Amino acid sequence: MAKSTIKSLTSIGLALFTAQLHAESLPAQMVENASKEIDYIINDANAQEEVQPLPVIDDATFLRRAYLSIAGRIPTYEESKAFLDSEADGKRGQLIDLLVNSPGFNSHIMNFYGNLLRLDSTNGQAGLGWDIWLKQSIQTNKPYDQMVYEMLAAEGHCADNPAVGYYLRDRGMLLDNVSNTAKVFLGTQIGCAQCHDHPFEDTTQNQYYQLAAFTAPVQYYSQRVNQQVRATVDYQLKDEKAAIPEGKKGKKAMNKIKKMNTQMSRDIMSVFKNYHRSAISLNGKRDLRLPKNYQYNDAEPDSVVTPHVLFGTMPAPREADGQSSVEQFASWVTSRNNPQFTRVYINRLWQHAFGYGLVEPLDNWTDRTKVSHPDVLDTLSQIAHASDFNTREILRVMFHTMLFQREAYSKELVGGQSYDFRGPILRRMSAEQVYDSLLTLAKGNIDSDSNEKKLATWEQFQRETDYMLTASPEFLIKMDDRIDSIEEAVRTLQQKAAKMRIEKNKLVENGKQMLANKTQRELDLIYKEIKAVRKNAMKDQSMEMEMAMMSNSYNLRVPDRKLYRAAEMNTPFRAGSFNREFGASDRKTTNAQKTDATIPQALLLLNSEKPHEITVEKGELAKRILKAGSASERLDVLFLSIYNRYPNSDDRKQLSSLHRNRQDAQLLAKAMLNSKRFLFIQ
Amino acid sequence: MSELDRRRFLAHTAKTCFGVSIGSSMATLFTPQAIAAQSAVKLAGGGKAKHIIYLFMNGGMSHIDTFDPKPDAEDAIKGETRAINTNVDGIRYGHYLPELAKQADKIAVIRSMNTTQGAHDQGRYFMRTGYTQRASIVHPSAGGWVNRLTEPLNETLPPFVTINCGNTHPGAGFLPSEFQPLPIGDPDKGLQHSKRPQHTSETEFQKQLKIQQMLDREFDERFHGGHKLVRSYNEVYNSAVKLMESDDLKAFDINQEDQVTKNLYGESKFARGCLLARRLVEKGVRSIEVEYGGFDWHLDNFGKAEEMLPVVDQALSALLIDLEGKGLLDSTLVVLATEFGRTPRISDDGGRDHFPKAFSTLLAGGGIKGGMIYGETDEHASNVVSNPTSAGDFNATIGHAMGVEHDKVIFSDSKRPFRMASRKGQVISDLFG
Repeated sequence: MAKSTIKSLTSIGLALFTAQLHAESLPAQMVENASKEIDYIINDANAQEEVQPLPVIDDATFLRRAYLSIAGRIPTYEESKAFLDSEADGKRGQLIDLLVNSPGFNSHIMNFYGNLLRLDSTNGQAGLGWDIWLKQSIQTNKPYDQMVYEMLAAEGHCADNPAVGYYLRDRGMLLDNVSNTAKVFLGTQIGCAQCHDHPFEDTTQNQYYQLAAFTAPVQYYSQRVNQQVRATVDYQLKDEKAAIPEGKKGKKAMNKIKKMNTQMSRDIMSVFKNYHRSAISLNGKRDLRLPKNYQYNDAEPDSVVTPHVLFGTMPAPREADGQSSVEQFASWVTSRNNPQFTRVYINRLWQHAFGYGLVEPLDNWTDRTKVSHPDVLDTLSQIAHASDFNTREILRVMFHTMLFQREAYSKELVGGQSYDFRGPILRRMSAEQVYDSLLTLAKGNIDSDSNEKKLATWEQFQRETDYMLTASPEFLIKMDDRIDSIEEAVRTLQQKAAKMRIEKNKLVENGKQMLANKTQRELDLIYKEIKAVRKNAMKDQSMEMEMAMMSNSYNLRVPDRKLYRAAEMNTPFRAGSFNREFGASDRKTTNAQKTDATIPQALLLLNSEKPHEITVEKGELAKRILKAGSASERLDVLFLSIYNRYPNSDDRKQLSSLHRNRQDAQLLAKAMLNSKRFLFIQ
Repeated sequence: MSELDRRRFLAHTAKTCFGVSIGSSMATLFTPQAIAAQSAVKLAGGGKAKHIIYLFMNGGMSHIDTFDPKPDAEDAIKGETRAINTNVDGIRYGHYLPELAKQADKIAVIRSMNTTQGAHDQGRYFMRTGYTQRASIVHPSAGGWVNRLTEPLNETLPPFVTINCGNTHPGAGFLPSEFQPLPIGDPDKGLQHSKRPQHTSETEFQKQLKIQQMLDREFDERFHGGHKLVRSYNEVYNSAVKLMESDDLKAFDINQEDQVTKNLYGESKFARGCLLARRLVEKGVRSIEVEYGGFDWHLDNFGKAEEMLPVVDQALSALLIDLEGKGLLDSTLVVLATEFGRTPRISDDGGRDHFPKAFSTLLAGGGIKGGMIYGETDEHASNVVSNPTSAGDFNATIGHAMGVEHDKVIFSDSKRPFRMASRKGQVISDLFG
């Protein structure tokens, strides 16, 4: 088909579609047209350079690649068998559509977003809330531009608006947060300009500060908590205030009340200690100033900076509507008139699908950036807008290309060179793909299992916070008294302990060891009592139910000992854990995940309990090996489960002596789990 | 390709998370031996240390109850802490450290540490790296820097091991994977998964490895030539198997130590970590960091001091005695650091709060002049009155002791320049004899 025809078909499709709602799929015809368009552009470019596209892969390679790329894990034995045995026309396309809409897709893309946004689900209350918010945004197909907008314009308590997690992630590091925003969403590295003009690009330090100035009102505390504290103090002081006499005496009384006010505020604030920090408040009066040692001529050191965008047009301030500068900032970043926002996003998804960007590196777009296939980027940008930034649908278009069905390129690409996309890139599975694939071998398809405890903990926290933020002054005063009385009891015990320790030290010095030992034993009893006082305070029956149930804890870490897919676990994974050894991100910087080979990885796959459990002890694969009646059946089980293909005649011949009995098959299975054919995605 | 070139190539490509060897005996053929200290550095008294054992007191160790006691201050400040004499005239430590007091001649205490980082995470990060925490880059900790700035000491073992260190440890920051630390969670268990599983016999294990190679033959034919990563997986498996058979592996097994030595260090996890650190030094690991957590004594400062300081006292003094006995003290720098000190005035809760304005760290061994105090605080331990020392100075001094170019600029992947001494760190030359 001629290029122009396809283009026009696509644009008709787009025109018809823009009116539709975002949560719906693109029409099949439009997906087909767009993916053909992409193939056409790539093939055309390659034909001109006399580059041969790589051959189309067989069903089995496709099956494995599709599951890993779309759902983030290998297919199960049954899934493999069903696809390979099917003779249906168009089964590849059907599989893509099935997987794109499966919970496995959500799990896989959750890791993608987690790495991109440096999600730390264990970072206080806001971390867990943000984790759940992201997950739900994915499940409900929240448009990407809206998702980013909600994070960049976020305000309020995390219990009300978990999107504040994006700012709270970098508490106290707002300037860094802005650098990351520019890098992650606009592919622009402006970090250098935080301290001096960018040495290679045009960004000046002044421009950096102008951009950061949009976020100047961001404050890390809760306005609702402040209101609660104020209301409670006012309530406590209302009689005093009413009784203020006229004249000089009145002034004295006022001063006294002021002092009481400060003291009472501090007291009541202690009740909110663990709720106050998990919020973003906007204070429009605050502004950003240039550093005191600002060294350039275009502005004075320490002068107030007026917000201004890095490029494009400044969104009109709508102060009449009460739009904050943070909202203005969010509008500018995510605007459809800001082509960079869409391009950077498309390029990241393209890399997610094919292993290499149309632009490399993903995060450093400059004036000199070379896009390997600008028309592909354009086509997909149109799809992004037509689908209302539906990540699922944009990726669906990519997976429907012929490119996705070609053999993996046998060479590696280095140093950000531009690539002709004769085929996708050979990749080692990500840490999460390895983890989730081993889980699949042990437990089958558990894509729908979600870590319910996370949600339960979060909802409990939301109820608790809501209760605290709407509680009456009487309740808060009572609660404060209670905390005070516990602390008082503990303090008395501690003072007693301190006296005894001094006494004990004297005894030791005077050589009276026996007596000192006796004092130590008494001391230990006091320590025990202190612990008991604290513990009982939590479950005192005389308290009102609501007060007793308050966990009042800043850290909402949820136990995750049960096996779930990686995206359901607490992230970042612990240093030294399976996922971290295989290169999972520490979530300290954007996309810090790696796929390097390391010795601890080999040790884990050779010697840890995991492969033994999977192949011998329990779980789906182990059971199937046991059940298989013949040697040939056993080989089928191993190949379909681990390599997701039937063994060919060469395999059968080569391995004929290696699966005669169960033990042989188990050993073979372990070898397979260690093989590169398992670890790599061809 | 000549045999030597081939080996060098393999060694290079396979040097991943932790230094991979193609047999240590071969490795020595082409690996420059542990770098001799640069002559310029040596002249100035540094460069004696080849190893570093970095002990981190997580939570903010009280300075006024440990290495900077103020026995003449009022009760509300000195609290229950008394000062005791050490084996060096004129130097006094807090009374919770009687064993270390006997080792004071080996120790240089810095009483004039001073930063502006009053929150735990930020303070820890700042002390470990010399840089303020950023959301756009991770800076290397001292243990990472010294490996980046020297040649490998041992080709089989990892160059950097962290023991009991939490998830927020910066490790080797932006430096490549080969410099990243190998984390050990439990010093008693040593290196995980380094032994053949019990249910697999040696014959079966060898057979499994052979099958693995056979399974990958076709894959290798296609991808081996073009992909460094594919090749490095072959190397990594070879090295893993070599490591499993290697004598060096015993370095991770503290159960090889006799009971007397174990008793010397004590029972705590921190003590075990220190003992493991010494074993790793013996086998040629360059950097080891051991963390001891729980120093955030907002409540009941003196109860906590009584509980935790004896652990530090015993383990650290044992480490110094043990290193000296093995003739390793001169080549091993031992440092003790923390994120900040504690408020001198005791709070209503009988605790002390965060205090970055003045606190103490120490250095010992590795050419450090012992029996000295550097810097001074006022009569309340609340202001530094002489020789203020920054995190950058502390790191520069570590670098100097290790004989590395601590002010050499190393660029991150994002092309940003960084130095071990951070921006302005200066070596404290008084610490070198």
